[in-house]
Amino acid sequence: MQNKSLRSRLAMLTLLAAMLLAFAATAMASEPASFKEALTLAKAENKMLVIDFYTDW
Amino acid sequence: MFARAVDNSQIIKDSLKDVVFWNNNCEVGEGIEVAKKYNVRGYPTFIMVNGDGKVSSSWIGYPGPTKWASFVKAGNQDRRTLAQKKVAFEEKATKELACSLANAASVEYNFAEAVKYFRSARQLNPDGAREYTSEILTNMYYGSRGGAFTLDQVKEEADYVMNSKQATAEDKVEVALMLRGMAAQMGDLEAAIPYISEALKASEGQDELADSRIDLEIDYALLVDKDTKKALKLKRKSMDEGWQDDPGALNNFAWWCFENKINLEEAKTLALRGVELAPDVAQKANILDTAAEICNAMDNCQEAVELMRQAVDYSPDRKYFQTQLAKFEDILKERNDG
Repeated sequence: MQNKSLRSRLAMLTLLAAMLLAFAATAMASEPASFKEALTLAKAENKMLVIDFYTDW
Repeated sequence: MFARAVDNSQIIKDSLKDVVFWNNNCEVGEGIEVAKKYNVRGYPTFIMVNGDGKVSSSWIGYPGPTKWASFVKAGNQDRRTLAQKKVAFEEKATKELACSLANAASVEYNFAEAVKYFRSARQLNPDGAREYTSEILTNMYYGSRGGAFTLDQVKEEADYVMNSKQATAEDKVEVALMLRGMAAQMGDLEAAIPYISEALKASEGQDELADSRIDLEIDYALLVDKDTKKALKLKRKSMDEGWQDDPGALNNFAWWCFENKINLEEAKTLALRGVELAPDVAQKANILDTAAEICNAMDNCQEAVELMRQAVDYSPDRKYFQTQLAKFEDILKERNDG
């Protein structure tokens, strides 16, 4: 009983970790947190990086 | 405008699926350094780089979703760096390379090079002549401010449009307005007369072009008819509804009167009304400068000095206002001494 519970807890944790990783990857894909991260992502995914240079005025 | 387009345009959303996108606020945090690194000079500028940060393509301004997406698509299709593209262009020129290099030159404010590459594109792809010619004239317009082109070079390009069978009345009006702006900047407004006349003739009776035509009609009245009353009447007609309650529009009207030495009394009254209505000190100072110039043109140097002093009080950091104040004080001193 205990073992089964531990196994299911572990499974839950693994699932949670996978979800978190997937979420992080999605968040990174849509919105990198820094320019360096954007470059790293472009390189890793073999994509071009489009930079929008703007100001608020 | 682009930020809104990213949220609203499906074309842009689709095009962003193929790239990584980075919003770089050029005035905040690391954005300042990134803008410096890529030598960004105007906004918005879009630069496509590879994973090593090397520039592959770039363009200035947001041209609407379809064209923006076409730039991204072209950038994805040819990922070579700009340096590699230049070498490739020398070996075998293509319209795609010419356009990519022309747009990148525009981003660097190298307008002469942009014109050179857009002309190559026009030669390589005569079907796109209309679009390339518009790009050439736009680059000439910005380049002429820094002296990159003579008026004769600009006129040669404008003649290309005026004599082209493809050119519509709208094209001709656009070219005439652009050439008029450049000629005024170069101190030779008369050079624009043939283009203004031709554009007015081509667009006669076309109501949809009325808003653009009126600026040319004003110039025609001033330069050809030499009829200031008619020009003033047209200028009033060209102003938007409610302009007399809008400080920016009041300043625009008053400055036009000053530039053409027309209707100065009313112009002064309207400028002072603009000063009163202006919501911030920077704008108040700007309009006071207009009012001071008008007073000076009316030989009222004493009042010009007083108004300019107020402008300096409102905007003590603007060197231009101090120079203007010194100019009017000198004139006043000369008058008093003489």
